Amino acid sequence: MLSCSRFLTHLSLASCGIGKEIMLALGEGLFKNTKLQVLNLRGNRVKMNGIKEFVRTCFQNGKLALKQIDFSQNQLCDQGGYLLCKGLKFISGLETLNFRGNTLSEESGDIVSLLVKENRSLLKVNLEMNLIKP
Amino acid sequence: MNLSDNQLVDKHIEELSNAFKQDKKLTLTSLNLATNKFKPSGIATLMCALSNNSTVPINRLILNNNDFEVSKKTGSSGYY
Repeated sequence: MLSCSRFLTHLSLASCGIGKEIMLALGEGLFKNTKLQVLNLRGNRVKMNGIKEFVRTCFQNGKLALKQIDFSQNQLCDQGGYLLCKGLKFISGLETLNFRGNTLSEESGDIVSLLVKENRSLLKVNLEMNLIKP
Repeated sequence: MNLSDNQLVDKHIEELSNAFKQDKKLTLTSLNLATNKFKPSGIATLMCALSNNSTVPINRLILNNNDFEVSKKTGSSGYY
């Protein structure tokens, strides 16, 4: 349904118990979406196994209009963060990214740094309350 | 329209979706349904109504604090 939504620019799904199944459906829904700018998934149960379709969409939908993505307070580990960042670099207009309160560590920190270098539209990245050490 | 923090269930969202289909003069641009008791199937009904309707220009949809945990029996996430 997201694929043919004409008006929706802001979708907030915080604290809805979203796991692998809904993330799969969201990824599929965004595959042809060109309108959605803000996606809030704060406080769900998103793990690495739930983001593969979303990442595939980032790779393949060159017209994805997302500007703000909030994955804070989920269950993303290092591998999930790595995979997400690999996809997010293809969203050309992405401005704000929130990974607060996951379990990302050094490897994710490195890939986020690379993402900031490669995606020049990014203005704000929140990595508070993860496991990244200096 | 803000209907957050109520006890609405899927039956109510179906009525709302029907209203969107029937009333062509609605000019709602924001719909807040946070903290209710909707399930994935109800949300799917709403999304379907909004997607197939070019006369209700909702651009901001807030569904925080509902229960989207997918039942393995229904597998209703596929509607999105």
